[in-house]
Amino acid sequence: MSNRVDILVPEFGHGLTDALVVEWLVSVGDDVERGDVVAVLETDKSSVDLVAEKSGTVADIVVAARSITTSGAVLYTLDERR
Amino acid sequence: MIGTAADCLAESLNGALGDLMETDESVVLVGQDIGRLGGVFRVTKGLQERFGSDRVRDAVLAESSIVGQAIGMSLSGLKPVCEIQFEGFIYPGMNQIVTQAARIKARWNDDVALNLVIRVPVGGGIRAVEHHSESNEAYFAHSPGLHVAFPSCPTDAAAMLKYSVALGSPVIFYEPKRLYWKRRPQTRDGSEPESDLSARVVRRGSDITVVGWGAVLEEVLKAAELVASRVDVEVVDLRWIAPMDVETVLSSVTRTGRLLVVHEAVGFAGVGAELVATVAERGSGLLRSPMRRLAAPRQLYPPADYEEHYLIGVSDVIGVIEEMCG
Amino acid sequence: MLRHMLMARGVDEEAGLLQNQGAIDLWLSCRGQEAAQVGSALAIGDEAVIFPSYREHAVAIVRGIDGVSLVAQWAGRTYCGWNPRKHGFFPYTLVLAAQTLHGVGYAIGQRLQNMAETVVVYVGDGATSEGDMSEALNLAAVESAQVLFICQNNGWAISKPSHEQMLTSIADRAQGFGVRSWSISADDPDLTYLSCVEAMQYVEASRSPALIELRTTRIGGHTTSDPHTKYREPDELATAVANDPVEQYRDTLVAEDVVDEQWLSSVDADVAAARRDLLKAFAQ
Repeated sequence: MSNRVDILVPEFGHGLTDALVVEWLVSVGDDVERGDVVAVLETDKSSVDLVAEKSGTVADIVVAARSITTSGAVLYTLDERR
Repeated sequence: MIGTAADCLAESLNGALGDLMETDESVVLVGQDIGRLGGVFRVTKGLQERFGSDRVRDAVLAESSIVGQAIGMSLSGLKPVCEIQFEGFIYPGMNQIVTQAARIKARWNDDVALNLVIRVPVGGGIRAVEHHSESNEAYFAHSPGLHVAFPSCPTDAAAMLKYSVALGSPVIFYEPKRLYWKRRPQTRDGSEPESDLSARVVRRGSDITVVGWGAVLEEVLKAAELVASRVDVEVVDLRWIAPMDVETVLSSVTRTGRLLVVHEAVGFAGVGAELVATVAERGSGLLRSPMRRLAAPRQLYPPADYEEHYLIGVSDVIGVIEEMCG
Repeated sequence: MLRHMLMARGVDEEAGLLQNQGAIDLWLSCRGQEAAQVGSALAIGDEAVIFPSYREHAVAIVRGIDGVSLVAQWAGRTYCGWNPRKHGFFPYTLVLAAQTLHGVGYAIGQRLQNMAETVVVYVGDGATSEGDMSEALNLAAVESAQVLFICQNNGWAISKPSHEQMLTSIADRAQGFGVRSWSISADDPDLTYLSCVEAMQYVEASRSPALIELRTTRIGGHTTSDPHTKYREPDELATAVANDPVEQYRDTLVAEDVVDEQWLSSVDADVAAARRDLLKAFAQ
């Protein structure tokens, strides 16, 4: 049974909210497990390896690589596998 | 050794400490030179002979250690009363006081009684050298988690010390050092304070409320007596800086319509500002004239030769009272 | 011991994931220090009151504190998520080395009340530069306080390596104050356990303080906010990961037939349950 969920850009701490999506390490259709690195984001402070917070299949990459996004925005969507 | 009205501050505190240690085995004292020497002001005189060196402990020369180990002792179930030798030397202990003592109850979600008294001789007027004449109550008033006691007379000091020792929450307990051995204080109204933490009206009057704490109340009371034929002065001894009993001050100002706050510490960002601001917020309708503060300028406490000029004197207090009531 | 190490690793990993997804604010990983922490925690036993610093999560787990209680303060819900007296594991102290004086005072206080039990103070390598640490060693020595200082030297104080933080070993400095000390490599939990037992016995028998320096490894950054790859050599990091004490101990015990697949599966199930509890408490 699957369920499409929005995965949001997290808070980065220390008042940082903006991040550049440096690259995606997964594509639409890839299966991910909670803990797999899915993308590399860069804040003013440092680089962040973003991991999958839920397991499932990547449905839609909402923020393209080399764009800037902000905490709380939808980053990608996932068909969650329960 | 039991405190009586004739005792000076040092004797009254000595008596109170002795009583406390007699009735409660968990009370221990820690401080530099408090044991063998009996304290540089002799406040702990005779206590080591009476209670032994386990309970009256001559500390190593490190204020952070004094406060830090007292915190640990308190966590183990004792009621430590530590002494910082002079207020000017409290700063190495600030970290343990502000980041630890003041915060431990909250860190433990209130599930701990942190009995801890830090006795601090305070203030000038004894021709001391640098760092021995400061008034730094504002730093501690500003820290949530601390009680700050500032008695001005022997009976209050003894009662407030007894209250503080088992409070379960840390207390910075100031002792005006120029009153330690003063034997003929100004007369105070004999009425009991309303509660352990309340301020106290020490002279009844109807024309102006003058609030103070510590040794400067001697000057304030003397000034009140000298102007009595012209101005009827009500004097309030604040007794506790934190928590601050603004209610007593407000009810006094309700009767007099005027407020003057006098303190020895630097006026800029001093505790007087807090009191005046609170009265402005809550009682501005009561006032017949603007409130004022009489306090030290924003300058370092000077060398002893210039001390008299820096400290607030009786004539300074009279001058401001007359300006406000004239 | 392996059970505690695996549980600590599971909780630590899950907390890291939770921080990555923004569900908790901050996490200070103890990855790489599990052998030092579990070995020492078991050696000191259940009775000793522990004054930790802020990274002793594996010690907390040995003392029966569950993952959710441990993580709560890093999610901004409280200053301390567990009952300190119940576990004999006092709240984390984030001001470096401040707890060292508390531990000494506690030991003195206990002795005055005729309850002489060893007090254990955990402290890190960077914290030993703080004045309070020197004051605590001196005070413990002069008072003959029954305190065992356990110093985890993980090689880093955020970005400052230990060899720049001090000229001598921490064990040597303790001796300078008159405190008996040892320094051991603490990546093997069995060796760590035995050394800490010896240290505890010394403190109990002599009624005087001691310090054991546990040389260990910080695999992660100082916190999840710390981009430690900026200041660490790739080789050093790779070696740290390769020498993972949890993996190595598991491999050892499996090879020596001390544990079998069945045992490992049951532990894995417990760890998975603890991780689900964390997810539920902070991410749902």
